Amino acid sequence: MSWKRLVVSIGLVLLANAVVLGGASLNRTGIPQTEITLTEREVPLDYGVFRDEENTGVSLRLEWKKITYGNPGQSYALKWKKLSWFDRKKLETIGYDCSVAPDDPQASVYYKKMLPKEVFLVLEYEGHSWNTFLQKGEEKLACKKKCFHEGGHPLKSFKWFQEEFHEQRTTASRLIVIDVGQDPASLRTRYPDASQFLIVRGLVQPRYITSENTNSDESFPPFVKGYVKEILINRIHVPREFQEELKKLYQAKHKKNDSKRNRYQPTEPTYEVSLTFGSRYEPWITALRPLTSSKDGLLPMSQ
Amino acid sequence: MVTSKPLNGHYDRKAAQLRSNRIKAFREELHQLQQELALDLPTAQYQAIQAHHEALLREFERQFDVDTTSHQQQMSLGMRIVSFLGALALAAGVVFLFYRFWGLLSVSQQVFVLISTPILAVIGLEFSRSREKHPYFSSLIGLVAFAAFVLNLHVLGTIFNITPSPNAFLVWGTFALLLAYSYDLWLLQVCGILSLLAFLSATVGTWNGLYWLSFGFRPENFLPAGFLFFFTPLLIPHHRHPDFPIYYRVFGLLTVLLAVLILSHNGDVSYLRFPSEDVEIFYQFLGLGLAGLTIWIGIRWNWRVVPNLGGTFFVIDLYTKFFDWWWDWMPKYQFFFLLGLISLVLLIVFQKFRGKFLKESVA
Repeated sequence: MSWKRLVVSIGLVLLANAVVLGGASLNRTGIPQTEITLTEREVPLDYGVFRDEENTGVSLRLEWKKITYGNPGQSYALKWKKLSWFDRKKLETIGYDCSVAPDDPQASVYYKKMLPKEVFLVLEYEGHSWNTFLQKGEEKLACKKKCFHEGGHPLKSFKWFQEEFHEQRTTASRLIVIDVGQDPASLRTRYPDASQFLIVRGLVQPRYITSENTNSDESFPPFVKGYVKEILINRIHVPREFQEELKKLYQAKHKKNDSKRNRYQPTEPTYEVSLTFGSRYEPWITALRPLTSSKDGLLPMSQ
Repeated sequence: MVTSKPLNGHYDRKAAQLRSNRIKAFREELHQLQQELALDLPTAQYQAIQAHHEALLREFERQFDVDTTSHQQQMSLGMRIVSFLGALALAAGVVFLFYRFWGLLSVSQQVFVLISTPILAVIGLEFSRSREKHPYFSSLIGLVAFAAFVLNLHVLGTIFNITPSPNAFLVWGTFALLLAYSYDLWLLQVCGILSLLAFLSATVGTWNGLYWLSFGFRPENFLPAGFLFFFTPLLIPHHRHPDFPIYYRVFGLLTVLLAVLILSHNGDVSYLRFPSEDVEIFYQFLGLGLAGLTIWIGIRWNWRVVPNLGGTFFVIDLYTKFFDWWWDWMPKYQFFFLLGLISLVLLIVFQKFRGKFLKESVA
């Protein structure tokens, strides 16, 4: 038996774990970067939780809003361009070389080769951007209703948008990405309210938009915009002390609703979660509280 | 009378097995010559050789447990296959076992189980290796130790919501190679090579401004690591582990040739900012050139498997190009006859080279 090789091998295991646990401890000590309370709308249960017997771990997903509405009557692509703060200028601030003009013959090859980059994202929770989203949605709904009554749109199209907007308004996440950057400290200076603005790590990538690749009926000159691919830590582990409560809420929700619920009927959020983001912008759950709901937990269908 | 000498202590297991194979081949050839030429060695010499060989084989069996008969060799091959499959199954079992029950544990209990599992496996590996001459059980336990360590760091990252990092591959690769060299386990060496390949490729990707997990989207990221591993045995002699160089060469070569093959068919995924057709042509020529060079290097330095790999990729590169050029417009029978004809021409060319090597070896 060789004690030397045993000690070296075990030593490596212990050293690696010490580094990982030390880093996790460092993240959780000191002044937190963000302390925020979100509901089930923003942090729903991860897929398969409480249903997959092969994995008894419990985690929540960090959801953010991906749907935006443009001005009524605006083309799909132009809506992207006008609504987007994430333009070429912003892409250059995070290290992408966007010196090639979008109308350059080489632009398509040039921008398509750009791959995702890790940056810091600023997510606003139920703030100005959320209110703008609601306002645009109401305007679009009114426009579609008017078009339907005037015979311009089929009922199906109007109904589909009505249900989608109702779902977005009542159950979807209210976290919206409003800025990106490479220096989290300067982002925090710009968005100092830590209870409303989350700063998280994410992936972004430029996108080259032409009238051909958006299937738009309108012809427009090509342009470049950035888009947010994903939030890097989008799964948050739920410690054991909160799992029982979460399981009770999950079982109660599904027991209440299954007999009455229309498959597409939105449901009220059943819990809120207090999240803290530490010095390394890695989150952990500090509290989980049930939310009081209506008798059956169902939200009314859209009118 | 010639007396047989005892083992002089210069053998390791691999050398003993090679000598044992040569003894077996010598006996079979001698028997054949005795029948064909009515060869009759002087009795004293014949008995001395027999006695010496018997003493050697007994000592090899005692010290290294080598295979001295073809039945033993077949059985050993079967045991190696079973060991490999068993290792994979056990490693998967450990992972699934943990995921089945970890939700029932507190954080401190989870951390304890995660850290202690690879440590216990390493202790088991040490115990097993010191007791067996063939690393059948050691390979199995070694792979479980590696899988447990991968699970260890991965799940810690999940529990504490840690940002993913390529450094995990560096740690896993280092652990695997440490076990491989300490316990002479080729399977762990392969795990180490693959982990370090991922780390080095991801690091090259980050030098080019990429997010590290995107390294797979640019096959060029794999080229430096592939070349490094291919030439590792030249940079670091492996006298105590003569089986290891071949795995460095094979995986290094596979990495480089596969990356070039992918680029020769999909220029869009290259770093090069040229039209994809031009990029593909460039990598097609590079692929054929590298494959040819590989064949030459493998033959020149007598490296096993290397010429075969080079030849395989040469043919794949050539045939896939023929497919691109001709499949759509050429009648299918003509396409396959043409491939067959080209194969015949290649065979004639290789035969000429083979004859040239034979003349050189005779000279």
